[in-house]
Amino acid sequence: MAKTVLVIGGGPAGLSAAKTLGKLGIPTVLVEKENTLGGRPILEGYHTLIPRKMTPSQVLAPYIEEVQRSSSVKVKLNTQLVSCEGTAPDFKVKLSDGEELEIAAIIVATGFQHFDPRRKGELGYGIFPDVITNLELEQMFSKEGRLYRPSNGQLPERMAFVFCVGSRDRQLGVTNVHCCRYGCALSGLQASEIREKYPQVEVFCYYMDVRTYGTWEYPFYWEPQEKYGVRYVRGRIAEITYSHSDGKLRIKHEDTIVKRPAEIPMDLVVLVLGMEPSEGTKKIARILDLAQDPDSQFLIPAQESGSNVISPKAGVFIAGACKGPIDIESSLSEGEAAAVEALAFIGAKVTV
Amino acid sequence: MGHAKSPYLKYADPIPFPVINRHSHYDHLFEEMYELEEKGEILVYRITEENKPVEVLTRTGRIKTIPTTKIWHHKSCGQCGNIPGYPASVFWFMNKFGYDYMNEPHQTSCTAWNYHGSGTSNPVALAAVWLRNMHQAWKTGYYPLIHCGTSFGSYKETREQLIFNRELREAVKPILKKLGRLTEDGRIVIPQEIVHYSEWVHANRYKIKELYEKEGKAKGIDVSNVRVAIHGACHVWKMMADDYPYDPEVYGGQRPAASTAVMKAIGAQVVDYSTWYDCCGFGFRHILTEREFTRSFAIQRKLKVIAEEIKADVIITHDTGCTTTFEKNQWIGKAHGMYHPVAVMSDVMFSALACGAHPFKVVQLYWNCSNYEPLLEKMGIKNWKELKKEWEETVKHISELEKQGKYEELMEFFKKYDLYEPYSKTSDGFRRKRSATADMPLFRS
Repeated sequence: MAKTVLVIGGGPAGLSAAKTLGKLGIPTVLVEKENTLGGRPILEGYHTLIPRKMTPSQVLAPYIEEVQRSSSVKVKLNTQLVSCEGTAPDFKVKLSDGEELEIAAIIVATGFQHFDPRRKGELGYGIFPDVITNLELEQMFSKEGRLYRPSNGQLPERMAFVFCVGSRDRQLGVTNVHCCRYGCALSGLQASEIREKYPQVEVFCYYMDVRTYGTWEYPFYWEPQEKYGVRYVRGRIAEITYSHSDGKLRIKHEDTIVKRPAEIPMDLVVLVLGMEPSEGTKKIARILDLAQDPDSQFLIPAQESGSNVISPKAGVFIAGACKGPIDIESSLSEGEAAAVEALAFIGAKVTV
Repeated sequence: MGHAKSPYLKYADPIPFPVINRHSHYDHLFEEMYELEEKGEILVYRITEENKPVEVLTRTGRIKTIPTTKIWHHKSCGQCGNIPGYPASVFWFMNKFGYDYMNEPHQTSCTAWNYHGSGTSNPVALAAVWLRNMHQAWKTGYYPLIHCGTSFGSYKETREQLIFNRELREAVKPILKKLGRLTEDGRIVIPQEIVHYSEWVHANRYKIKELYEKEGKAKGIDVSNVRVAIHGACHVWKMMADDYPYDPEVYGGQRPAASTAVMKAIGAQVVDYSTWYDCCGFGFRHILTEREFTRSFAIQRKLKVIAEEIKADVIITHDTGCTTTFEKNQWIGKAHGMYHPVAVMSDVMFSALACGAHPFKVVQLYWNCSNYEPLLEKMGIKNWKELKKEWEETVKHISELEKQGKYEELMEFFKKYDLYEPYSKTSDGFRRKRSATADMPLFRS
């Protein structure tokens, strides 16, 4: 009888699950389709993570090192799950490198992808160079360490964050009605960082309502305004255009507090992207026949379990952003929780 | 791509957009539709090889199938009433391309006037009307092509409501049964795709280009200097934006491709302007309830911007309401000292002109109140005055024939023109239209 646990995905949740299983000496195989561990924060070069304001490597490097050091965890990069037959605890899985394994339990941690803002053509991303995503802003910080307008390389005088791009948006149909959970807080942090480094840049945040959860309220909502002078305007941006007369962008919205439409010139606009299940998550859902939310397509846990990490399919556990928008701290916790549940599951069948 | 233009920002090189066959909620809608068919609730009226379909990409990456021939024309109240050159141009192209179609007299209005403006109808009635018309198309074996943007938008939205709501299906079925508009085994007929005429134009843009090269240019027509402002209609794409053609070559696949792509195909200069995304001012009920809003919006936000910012020669539309709004408000603006003259016409009308269609007998520009003459000059249709005279003489001739009661001769006369005729062209040849109006003596009223 197999004793091995398969962890699919080497991002925060998968790393955390593998690390926990490794610590407990459980034979574990971690498959990651990219050639690097760390998931989106490492692959995409995030600059600073909320809420602790640490870099991705500060947070994730200890996990990566411990997983790589562990004698019971086998890491397989550039590898994907191809098929899975049988039932727990006797899954027979096939990997993209041709290897076949006998697996007792599976932890799915296949994560999310950023909303593609080109679906909101009215926001002009990809048409006007000075419309960028919050991911590109992170990369500007982490790769180049400076803020500039992509059209001319100059420091913007005035810039805006547009919240909820691809989130809470019924215009996009049923797939994108959920909140991304991280956007308000990260924008508060990014806006504060900009104001701290470049006090001459005017920064505006355009929001529907600000959702800085729990203890995030002060550092990512009040502090940006009170300490750094970031200006918050309630109004959803309807459209972004460009004026040839001054070479600046125009953002159009209705300020729903003062109740009037406005059109404001901006040098740089940052789109705060929503989260969607990754292609990997959708693919794994098909291979393992996992329950998905009919609208968002995120994976959903077994309702009767009361747990957030137990899937409706016996022996399959789900953790992190494959089951909906989540922050990195919580992803790490869910990885640990899924590892323990997997352990309990195989523990009932085999002697560890 | 905008970022590709930047010498500074060189990050992720995105794959072309739309991303082909990316799973989206729209696929979900179609999956549900076919599931309903499997359960025996509905019959999906399919586009077949007989329709010589062309595939286009939608915003979500879904492949949409556009039939090109064996077409059932679902015409527009506003077009037939106010801009008859609009449907006539569609028919003209169909005749030129040798496509088979049925000019259906048994079609009703979609009743979505102003797109459900302020409770003019309700979901059950709207669904019943849509399904009644689709059933009629199915009976004929010709595939429905929706001319009107309002009908197209309403039908797309109604389809989504119908597929996802059993209550609506249950409410509409007894009505359809009473009307005899279910299949023999009691199923609702839903077309595989809801197709707008602008999608048909889009799917035929290379054929249009060929015709322009062959016949338009031979007449000295050249559109390469014509500055074109595209106005996309809310009802056509903005309200249900996913189910409409997008193309990586048109604004990076982020703005609707129909109308823009055909203009580009024939070589006109498509010019971007800052209020491209704004409504024409027609609104959803504004034209009925807040007409001054419509007027000021159309004049200040669109006509003025298009005239001053980019000095366009023509506004290209793909819907009934937008065309009339841009047209009539120029005349109104003139009366109030806010005159921003620019020609207005639909993509298919402009394309027909470019391909050499008669500006008055086919495109019927005499119905336009916008300043179309400078556009004709710029397109190289320098003899438009003679053409207008020719049309006036033709009208006189028709009138004479009618006075003399020579209807057979009239019919023969119409055959000479690639015009909307009192006949239906079917795969079996010409067939006289069987409608109340078709049997009336022509032009008597």
